[in-house]
Amino acid sequence: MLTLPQTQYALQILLGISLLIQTLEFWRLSEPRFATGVWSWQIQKDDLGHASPWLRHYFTMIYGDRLWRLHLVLRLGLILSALLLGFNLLNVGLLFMGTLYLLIRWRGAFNGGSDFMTIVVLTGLVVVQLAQIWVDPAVAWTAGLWYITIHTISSYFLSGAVKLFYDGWRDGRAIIAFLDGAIYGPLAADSVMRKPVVAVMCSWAFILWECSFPMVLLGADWAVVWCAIAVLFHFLVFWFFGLNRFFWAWCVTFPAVIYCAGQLSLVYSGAT
Amino acid sequence: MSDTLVIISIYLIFLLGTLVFKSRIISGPWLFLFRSFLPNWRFYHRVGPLPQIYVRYCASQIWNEWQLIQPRAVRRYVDLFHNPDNNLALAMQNLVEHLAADLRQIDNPEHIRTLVTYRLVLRFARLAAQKRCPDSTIQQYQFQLRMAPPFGVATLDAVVLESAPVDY
Repeated sequence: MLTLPQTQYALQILLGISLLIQTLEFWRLSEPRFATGVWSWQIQKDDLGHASPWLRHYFTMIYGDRLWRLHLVLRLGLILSALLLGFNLLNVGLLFMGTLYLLIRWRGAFNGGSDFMTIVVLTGLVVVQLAQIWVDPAVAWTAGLWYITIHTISSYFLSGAVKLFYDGWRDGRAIIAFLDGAIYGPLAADSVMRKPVVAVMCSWAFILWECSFPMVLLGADWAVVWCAIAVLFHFLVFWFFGLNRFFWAWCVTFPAVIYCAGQLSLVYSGAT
Repeated sequence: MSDTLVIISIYLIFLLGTLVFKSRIISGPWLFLFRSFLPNWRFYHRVGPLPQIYVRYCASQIWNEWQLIQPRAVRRYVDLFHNPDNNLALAMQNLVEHLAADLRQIDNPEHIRTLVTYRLVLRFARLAAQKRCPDSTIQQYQFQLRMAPPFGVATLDAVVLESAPVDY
């Protein structure tokens, strides 16, 4: 079972790594032609056609090339501060707002699920920092970590449940179709994944593991096992679908899950 | 302990309820830009019609065949730590899916070419044509949006949108 200081440190390191990877990728993608290439702000600003003229002008100003790059440099500094000094209201708040700034530039989301989970974690940390103004830090941290944990459990459970209700997943066709369409696809003609038995077994393994993720609430030991499987799961998602950000974004949440599961164990045993 | 189990049970029942009971779809331009606050944890949950972009270009007065543009890459271990190009390619595919979604919602087909997604995809098509004709002899290019059926292949019958030829 993790103690609160251990959880905080693990979260600090993993979130720092995740945000560092994301920020360096954004830097690399901010080539000189970013403003005039596919993702031209001159075109994208019309997404704000419903907004007032001053708001559109404001967004055009803040998404200028220089300010964009300056933000990325500042973001790197904030990430390093979090890695070396831990979280505080300033670095967490600015990272949260900076993430929103980045996502709006990419029309709401750049990488989908990893963006969602990053926002969840940062929101949880904002909750922690703000709550500490009124309550004991340990209570504030517990609230923030439970926020992250509930979203993490929900993400797996809902993802598994919708697969359970779809016959394409139950009979193995969906997993082959997705692997064929993945960025590292298609599957080789003689791939073992094309065997119906293997496809069905893999499908049901994912479905059952995702649907059973709430079992982490049974205790820290269960949480460690399910999170270890999750690390493997997300590595496979990266291996086949190229979703590296998903791997790190979800790994960030596992210390929170294990800590909260441990806290529940204490409740079950009557220790609290 | 019983109170804890009750709370956990209520939470799980709530999650199941979100799967069974569908609320009306809430949409809006600001909601779209802030949708990261409304996580949708339904990843790869169903094989549906897949929007696909096909591009062709005219070089030396000759139009080539329509070519499927989809994210494809060679796997590298380092991609786990730094993967900007592949992530960008996936974002481009998302853009294509957003265009398909916009087409389903648009009231007046004459306004298609004013859509942000249409204009961004047109730039995407230009970039794709440029990569396939690096000697810069392209005179015009255009794209098609096709909807590949579930578990099927997108044929010319599946074209839902075709841009007019655009000067390069």
